Amino acid sequence: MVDSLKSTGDVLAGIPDAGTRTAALVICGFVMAVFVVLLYLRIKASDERAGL
Amino acid sequence: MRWLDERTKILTPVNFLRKKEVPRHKHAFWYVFGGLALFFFGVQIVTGVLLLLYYSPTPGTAYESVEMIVASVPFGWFVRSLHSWSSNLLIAIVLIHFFSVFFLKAYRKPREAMWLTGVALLFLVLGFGFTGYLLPWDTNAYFATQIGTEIPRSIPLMGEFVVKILRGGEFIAEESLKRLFALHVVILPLLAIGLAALHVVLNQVQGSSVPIGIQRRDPPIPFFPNYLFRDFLAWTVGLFVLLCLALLFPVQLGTKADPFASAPVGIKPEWYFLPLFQTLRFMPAEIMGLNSELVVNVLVMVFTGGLFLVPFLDRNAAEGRRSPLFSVLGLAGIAYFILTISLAYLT
Repeated sequence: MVDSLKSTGDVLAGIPDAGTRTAALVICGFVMAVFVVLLYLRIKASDERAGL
Repeated sequence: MRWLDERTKILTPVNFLRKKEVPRHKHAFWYVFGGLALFFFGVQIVTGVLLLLYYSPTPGTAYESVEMIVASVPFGWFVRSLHSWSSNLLIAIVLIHFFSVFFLKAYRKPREAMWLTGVALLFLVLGFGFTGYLLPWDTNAYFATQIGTEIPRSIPLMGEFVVKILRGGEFIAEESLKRLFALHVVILPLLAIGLAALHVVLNQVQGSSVPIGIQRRDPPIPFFPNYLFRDFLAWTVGLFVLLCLALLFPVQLGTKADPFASAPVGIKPEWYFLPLFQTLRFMPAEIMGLNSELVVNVLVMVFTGGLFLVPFLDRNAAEGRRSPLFSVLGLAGIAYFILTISLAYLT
């Protein structure tokens, strides 16, 4: 494989367009926001158990 | 689990963590940066291993292999972006952690060993940045490394030796790439993993420091699971920032390095080396008859030695008294760091 490596000179090849990347970020952001809310509830519950 | 514990005592550290507590006070927020640094170090290991599967460390193939990672390997551009942005975030977080420990005087007795391992880790992280920069073998990487590896030359007695060790010859070439690659993927990670493990173990043994003058009124937080959940929260925020940077500003590859071309005009190193870069630019060619690079190298060595010795120099903090002189020195350090970085970008 290494022997067949050739430069194409296209430095942007392979990187998806800005719209696709933004959509991926929105989906990731939504999943992480849900995770943060669940984690926050878990922190509250465990703090109550520990008497904090 | 009982079967496993009877044979390996695997629950001993878990039981230890169950008893560990984290102090609660108005500065406790700064504790999260240590865990956050560990998180980004983990991201670097995972993404670094993935890049290693396709990267080829020779001048004839390094650039092409990175180009292939970006263009042909599924999500290769994303993994490379994560690795690059995460390295910047790791250094930023380590610096924040360093300054927070410095200002809270958390280095004082009995945590001197934690400070020593922490400062060593700070320099190792900068070493990762320096050794990884050449690996894509593009124009900026090549000439920035050529300039960067030239700086130690003026160190008395050992300068030439250091340059030869780093480059493997007079100029940046195949040997240099192999050496920096070996440092980046084997030697520095082994040192960093060992030191980070020691740093974390010392933290577990000594616990988190309470700043001088803070009265502990609030009950402490149990580390497991209460504080660990808070760490997860900080890691999630850190991961989101990393995703934003990697997806909105994917790292691009420059043109392939041509060793026979002249260095691009206005070439600058990464932001964390700009204070050193700008200091060298400030200096006249000679200071009191001495080569200015020699003066800067000696200053850097004195500064580095001084950083390691902070817990032993700050006698007031060691005895539980406030030490405003060290706080002023820390503020001066931050001001110089920000000023030199700003000047380097603006001029």
